[in-house]
Amino acid sequence: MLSQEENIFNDLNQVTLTLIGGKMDIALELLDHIEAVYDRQKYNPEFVGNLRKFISQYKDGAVFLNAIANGNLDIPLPEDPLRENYLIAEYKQLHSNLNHLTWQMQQIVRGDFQQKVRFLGEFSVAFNKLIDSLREKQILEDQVRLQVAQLQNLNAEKDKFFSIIAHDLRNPFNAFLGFTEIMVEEISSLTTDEIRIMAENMRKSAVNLYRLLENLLEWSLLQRGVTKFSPTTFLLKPKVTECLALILDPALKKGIEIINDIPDDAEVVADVHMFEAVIRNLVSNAIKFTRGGGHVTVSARVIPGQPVEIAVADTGIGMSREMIDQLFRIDVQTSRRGTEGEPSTGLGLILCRDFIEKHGGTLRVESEENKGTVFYFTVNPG
Amino acid sequence: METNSKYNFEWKDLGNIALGRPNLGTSTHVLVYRLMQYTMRDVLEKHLGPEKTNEIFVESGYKAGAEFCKNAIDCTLDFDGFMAHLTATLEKFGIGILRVEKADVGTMSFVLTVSEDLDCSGLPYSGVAFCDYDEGFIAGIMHTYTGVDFKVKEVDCWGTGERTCRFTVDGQSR
Repeated sequence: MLSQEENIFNDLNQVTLTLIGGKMDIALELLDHIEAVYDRQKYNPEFVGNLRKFISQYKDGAVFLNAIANGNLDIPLPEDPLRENYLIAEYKQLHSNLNHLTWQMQQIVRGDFQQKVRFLGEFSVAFNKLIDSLREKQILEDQVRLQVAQLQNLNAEKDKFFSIIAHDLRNPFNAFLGFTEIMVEEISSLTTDEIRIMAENMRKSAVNLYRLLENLLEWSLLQRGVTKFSPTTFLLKPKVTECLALILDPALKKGIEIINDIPDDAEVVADVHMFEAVIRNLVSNAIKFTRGGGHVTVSARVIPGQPVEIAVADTGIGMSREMIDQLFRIDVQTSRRGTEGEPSTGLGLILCRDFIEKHGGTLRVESEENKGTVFYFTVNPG
Repeated sequence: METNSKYNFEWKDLGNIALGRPNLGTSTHVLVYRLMQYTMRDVLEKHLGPEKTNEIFVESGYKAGAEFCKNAIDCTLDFDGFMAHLTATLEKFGIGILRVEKADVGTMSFVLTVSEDLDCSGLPYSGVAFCDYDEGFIAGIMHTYTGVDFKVKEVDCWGTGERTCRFTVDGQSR
C-alpha cells in the first residue's frame, strides 16, 4: 500500500502528464481531487495553488492564441491589468500588431496612402511597396482626371466657337446679305426713306457683327495666351463715361437711362483694354435685358485696403436660379434674346469673367426675375 | 482640495531650452527622466499613499497632454490626419510608438497602444501598471482635440508582464 505522500506525488505527476497532453480541464479536476482528498499538511497547498494558477494562465493563453490563430482579433481585451500572465504577453503584442495592421488596411482603403507597416519583416517591405505603388497610381489618376477635365473644357470651348460661327455670326450676315440684295436689285424703285431704313438696318447688323467679331477675337487671343496684359492706374469714373458713350445708342433708342454713379476720386489698377471690354459687355447686356423706361446704373464701392467692387445694376427682366447657375458655363447654351429681340451669345460674360480673373478679381451676379440683375466684379485699387 | 498655488503651468514655462543648453542640446537620457519620475513616485507614495499618488500622476499627465496637444500638435486636422501627426510627434520626441488598434469616431471609442514607452518599457516585472501619467496624458490630448472628456484605462503594461502598453480610450457624454 502506497503512502499518502506517494499517492499525492503520483497524482501530481498525473496532473503534469495531463497538462502535457493538453487536457487542462482534467488537470484542474485532478487538482480539485488532491485538495479534496488529501491532508493539507501533506500536499503543500501553496504549491497546488500555484500549479492551479499556472494551468489557468496556460488555459487562458491557449484560448487567446487559438482565437488569434483563427483570425479572431475581436477577442475581448483582458479586463484585469494585473493578470500576471507572462505566457500570453508576446501573443498580446502580436494581437496588438495585427489589430493595428487591420486599422492601417482600413485607412489605406479610405485612401490614406501615407501608412507604413513596421513589423513582419519581408511582409512589411512588400506591403509598403504596394502602398507606394497605390499612391503613385492615385497621383497618375488625379493627373488623368485633371487632363480629361481640361480636354472637356477645350472641347466645349471649340464647340462654343463653332456654334457662334454657325449660328450667331450667320444670322446677321443673312440679314445683311438680304438687304444688299434688295438694294442691288431694286434700288431704282426704292424711295429715299426706304433706302435710309435699309441702310440703318444694315448698319445695325454690321455693328452687331463687329461686336461679335471683336469678342470672338479677344476670346481667341486669351485662349491662346497671347493677350497682352498691361495694368495701369486710372480714374474709374471718366473711363466708364468713355465706355458708356460708345454704347449709348441702343439705350437711347429703348428709352433706358444710364447712370454713372462712381465716386469721382476712385482709382483702379487694370489693363485698360480689358477693363473697357468688361464694362462694354456688362452694360450692353444690361441694356439688352431691360425694357424701355428702365435704368442701368454703374457704381463702385471703395474701401481702403480692399479691392474696388464695381456693380452694373439694371431694372430688367432678371434671371432664374437655373440660368444663373449656368451663366458662366461654356459647355451650356446660355444665350437668349433681349427684350426687343437683340441677339446675345453668352460669350461676352465668359470673356468678362476671364478678363477679371486675369486681374485676380472675381465676378458674381445677383438677380431676381422681373426685378433686375446686378453684376459685381472686383479690381485692385489704384 | 483647492490650495493657494503660486504656480500654474503654461507651455512657455518650459523656457528656451536650445538657448539655455547650447552645448548639451535639447535631449536627455530616458534614464534621467525615469530617475526623476520614479524617485518622485517613491516620495509621493510614502507621503500620500499609492492611491493619491496615482491620482496626482493622472492629473499632471492630463495637464501635460493638454499643453502638449495645444502647442505641438495641429488640432485643425481631421481625425486621421490628427492621429498621423500625433504619432509622428510622439516618435519625434521619443515618447513612444503610438498605434491605433481600433477607432470608432462616432462613439469616441478607441484602443491605442504605446510601444517603447518612455515611462515603462523595460521596467522589471512588479505586477503593477505604471502608466498613470500616460493615462492622463492621452486623456488630456483627446480632450483638447475633441472637447470631450475621456476615460483612459491602461489594460496592458510592461510592468505587469506585457510587451506593449495598451489603453482603452472612451469618450464620456458631453
